[in-house]
Amino acid sequence: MITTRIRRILGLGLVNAWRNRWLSIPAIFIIMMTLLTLGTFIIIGYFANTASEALKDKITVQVDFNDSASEADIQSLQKLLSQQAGVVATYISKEEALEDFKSRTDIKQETRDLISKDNNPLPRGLRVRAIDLSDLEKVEVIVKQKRFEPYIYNFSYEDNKLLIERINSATKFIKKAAAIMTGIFVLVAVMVTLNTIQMAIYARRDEIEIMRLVGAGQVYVKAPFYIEGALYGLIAASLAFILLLLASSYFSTVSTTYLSGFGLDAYGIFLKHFWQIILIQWAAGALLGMFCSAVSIRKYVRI
Amino acid sequence: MTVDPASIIQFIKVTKRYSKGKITALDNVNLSIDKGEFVTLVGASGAGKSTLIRLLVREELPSAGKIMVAGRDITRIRERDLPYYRRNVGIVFQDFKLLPQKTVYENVAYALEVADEPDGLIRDKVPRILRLVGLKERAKNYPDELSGGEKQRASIARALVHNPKLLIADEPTGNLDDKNTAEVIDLLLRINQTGTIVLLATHDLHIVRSLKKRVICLNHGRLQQISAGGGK
Repeated sequence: MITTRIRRILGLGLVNAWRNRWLSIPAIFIIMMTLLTLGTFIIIGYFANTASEALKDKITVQVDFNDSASEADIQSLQKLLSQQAGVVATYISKEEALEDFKSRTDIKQETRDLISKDNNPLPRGLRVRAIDLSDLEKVEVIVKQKRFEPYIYNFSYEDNKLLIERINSATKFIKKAAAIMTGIFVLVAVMVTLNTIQMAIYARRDEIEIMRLVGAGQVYVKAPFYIEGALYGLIAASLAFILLLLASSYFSTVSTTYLSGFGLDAYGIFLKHFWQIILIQWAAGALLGMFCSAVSIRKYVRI
Repeated sequence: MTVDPASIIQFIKVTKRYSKGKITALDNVNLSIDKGEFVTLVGASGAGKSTLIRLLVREELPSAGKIMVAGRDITRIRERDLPYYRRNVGIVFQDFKLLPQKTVYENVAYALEVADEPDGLIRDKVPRILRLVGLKERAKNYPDELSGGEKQRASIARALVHNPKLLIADEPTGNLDDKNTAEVIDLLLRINQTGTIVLLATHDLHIVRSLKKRVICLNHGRLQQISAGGGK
């Protein structure tokens, strides 16, 4: 009897969904918009994260030493910095500094030729990289200790400080804003979807009354509406997925042109996580449709 | 008035008030209907006919009194058992109340499906009932594609599919022309002949006179006049 009941409820839900397809268009559209916007928020959040990580990776600070500094002094600062969690300090010898200088394409050849192995005024240095930008503040405190002061020729943190702080606060802001916006949007989206499905069910309230009067129990009245809601959600999720896929393909082309080097291959990422994304979208769509149907129908199912 | 064992339906001192007691739709109504009876319920609009029917199908509860159906006080039926009770009461409305997205066959079959009846029984019973009401050829049509009389016959077919002991018809001819009215009344009489109690609510005095059955009259919620009619 249970299998007959499940088969009948499924059948009723699917047939009703098909026969009410015109009535269901607004609901499908709203769920699709909800999932599309949510998906866009998540993707923007993901890319903001990737972009800021890529940017952070490019930011290093450099400590340059006077010729009077001994190798032991440099090593002692390097050791002190490397002891800090999330901080990596790499030693750059005069030869390595020269090699870097020679490879720079943004300096004229004549200028590059002025410096050679025998005539190398370039200082030895430590290239410091922090996993978290806020760790660079710890680096500043250490480097600015009185005992290192006589040996230090230049500390580039001063030059980059403004940029670093801006990136730092922008990253924090984007993360916070994305979380708040997603939260608010989820709430608004659920309410709009609820309202749309409620209107669709309101239009069919007579149908619900008839079902009750011919002796249908709660399960037979409610469950087909849940099935319908889930089906709308699945259709909406599939449409949202296709639109996101097209948008990411377009965005990939744009980002390759303007943002090369930041690893923002949206389409590639989309294809890599194809099943993961579509399954999450389907689940979210079906749950949203079912949830809204369940809440809406409660109003009209008075036994 | 006490419980009468011979009566299938009994209203015992039933009162129904709305709007926090300001409107009295039924006022201390006592009524008995026996097995196999055909009863006509008459009264002007707002006299309480629809309230009496809503109480009988347990869409609403009385403010006071008892309603006994086959020896059971239906005001005490638990909500989860209501669908089982309703399957024993067939009901036909003036506006037909057919499911618009289902064919005639599906409308009738739906009443059996929700009662968890086996597929074989549904396949066997629905065409028989449709033949009885003269709609076998219209089985695949949607309600929109039927005439008023056909819609009402489809509605009667659905009401009959559970072999109910009681068939309530609430102004079933209100939207029909004379020819279709005559057909529907004839169908109700034939159903009554099989032993089903028929309670027909109408304000069409022509029908009342031609039926020569027992008449109950409601006036401002009170049961005013009972005519014994010409026979069962």
